[in-house]
Amino acid sequence: MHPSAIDPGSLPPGAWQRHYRFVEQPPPEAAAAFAFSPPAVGWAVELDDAAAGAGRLAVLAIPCTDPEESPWQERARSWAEGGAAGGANCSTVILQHALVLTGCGRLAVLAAEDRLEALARAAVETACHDLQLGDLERELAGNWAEWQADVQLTQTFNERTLARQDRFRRRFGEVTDLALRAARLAAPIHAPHVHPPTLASQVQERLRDRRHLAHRHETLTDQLGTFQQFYEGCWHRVNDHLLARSSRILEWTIIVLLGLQILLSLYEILGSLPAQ
Amino acid sequence: MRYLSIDVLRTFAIAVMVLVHFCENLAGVTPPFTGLGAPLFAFLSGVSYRLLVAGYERKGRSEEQISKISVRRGLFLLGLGFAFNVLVWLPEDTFNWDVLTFIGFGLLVLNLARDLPPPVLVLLAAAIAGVAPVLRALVGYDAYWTQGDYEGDLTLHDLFVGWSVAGYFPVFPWLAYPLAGFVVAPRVFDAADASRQALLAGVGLAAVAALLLALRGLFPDRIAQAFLQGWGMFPATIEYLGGTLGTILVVLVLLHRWLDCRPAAAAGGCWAGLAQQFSRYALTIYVVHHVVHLWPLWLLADRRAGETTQHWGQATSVPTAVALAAGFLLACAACLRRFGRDGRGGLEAWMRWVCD
Repeated sequence: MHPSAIDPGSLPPGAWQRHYRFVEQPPPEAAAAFAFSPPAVGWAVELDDAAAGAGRLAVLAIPCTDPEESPWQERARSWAEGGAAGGANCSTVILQHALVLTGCGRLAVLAAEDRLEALARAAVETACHDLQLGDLERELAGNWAEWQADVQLTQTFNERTLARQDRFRRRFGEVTDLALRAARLAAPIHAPHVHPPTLASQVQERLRDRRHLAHRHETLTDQLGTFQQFYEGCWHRVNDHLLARSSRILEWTIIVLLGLQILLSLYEILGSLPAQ
Repeated sequence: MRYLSIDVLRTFAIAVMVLVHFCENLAGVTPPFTGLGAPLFAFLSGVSYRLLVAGYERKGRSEEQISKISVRRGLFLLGLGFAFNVLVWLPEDTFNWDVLTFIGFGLLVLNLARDLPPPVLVLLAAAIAGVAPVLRALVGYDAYWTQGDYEGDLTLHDLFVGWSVAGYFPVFPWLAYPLAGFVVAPRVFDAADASRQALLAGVGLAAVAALLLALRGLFPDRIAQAFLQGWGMFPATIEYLGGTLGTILVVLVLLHRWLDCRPAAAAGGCWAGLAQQFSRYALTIYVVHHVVHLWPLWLLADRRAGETTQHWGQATSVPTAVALAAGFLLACAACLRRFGRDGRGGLEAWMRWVCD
């Protein structure tokens, strides 16, 4: 068995392993799911199959009175780190005899049995926001070069660059979509501390700090704002150009018609001149 | 970027012109396919100019540089056209307004019009085509043509009329071809939908021309005589313009889909390389084919102390003229295969050296 894998049969009594995926729409009533606490909007739906995949989170919960002394700590850590390709360090939060380990797509919670469910839910919620923020960051990074290249194309707007209007419209839509998704995350990520605090709320706040969610969200929002402003400007310029183009076509139509009239008059005059 | 579809069409235009000119000038016979080459040549000048400008823009040339190159190319062709008229058609035909002077002037116009919105260019082309019959009626077109040839006096009035309406290739209506080529080029070669619009426009134009030809008898006499003069190249009638332009559009789109969009179709064919060579040296071949069949006529007649044009149109029989034309084309193919691989030499290289 892989060192990062855990045989469910070997887990201590009261421990469990679940897999979640996140949805933004209310799941069917029959589904095992829990809603995120306000102001977050979303649901974590429990999955039957254990297959890992993008946007899925595996949660391992182990009851123990003192996680730092528990023999399960190292196994839980290596399991949490095993989610990433090649292994990666996981974030650790230790608070009031509770231990939360957050890896890539994996989350391990070690705490007293009566606190385990609440802690797991709080950690799952933060992990969901972390995953969503990560997705947005990856999408932005993937599009960065292409979007930056557009800056070169916006130096001039003329007849031959008119074909780019669809591209700017599409890009503006893409950037706005990312910005909206980022805006939706703002409320839970920048939520003030809960009062009176609970162990779950404090763990959630610490996980947010440990994963730099607020800073990452601000950076992402700033970057998206820059591109949004750029494409909005492009879109305005394209619209202005289209409006000016319509006027120009009308003007030139009049000019062509006047030219024809002048031409016909000129030839009439030429025809009426006496032959040499 | 070279498009094989353009090369094939230009090669076809050159081959048609060579055959027609040999038959007309040596045997005095006008072949039935006369009138297909010049419209194609004029149309492709607009297409090539659009692609040339796009290429310069990609290379980062400024608008001013592109304008200067365009004007120099236009003036080069105008000058070459007049020199061609003097040296090939002899000085009395300096101002016969042949195809080279027309294409040179067309380039000057395209340079001025290249930033106009396409709908304006389409309107301009349509207006030029539509007003031409009226202008011909106003200037008395038939008075300038005797025995199938343009005969204008060396007066300012006749020069203007010849250039604009009555010459072999006057601005009205022939300028419609390069304008159409300029408008169509991006819609064929840059279009995502594989030039469907251009294909429909071509089919529509050809259909309208066919309808006008078929229904000519139903129109009132005045309209039929002034506007619908049947199928004819001199003068270029509305039916002729619509029919040739529509056919060219359809053929260009089909060739583009067949050859340019599926390079495998042309890969390995020696005809493709030959078409490229003929297309690359089309201007040189156009000038040279006149020189090789007209100068001997003039020199022979001059040597016999007769009228210089004494043998024009009656030097050979039709089969001999066709054989000579075919021989010329074969000789061109051999020469191009031997000397034309590097793209140097020829009038085209001179034009690039002077203008670019």
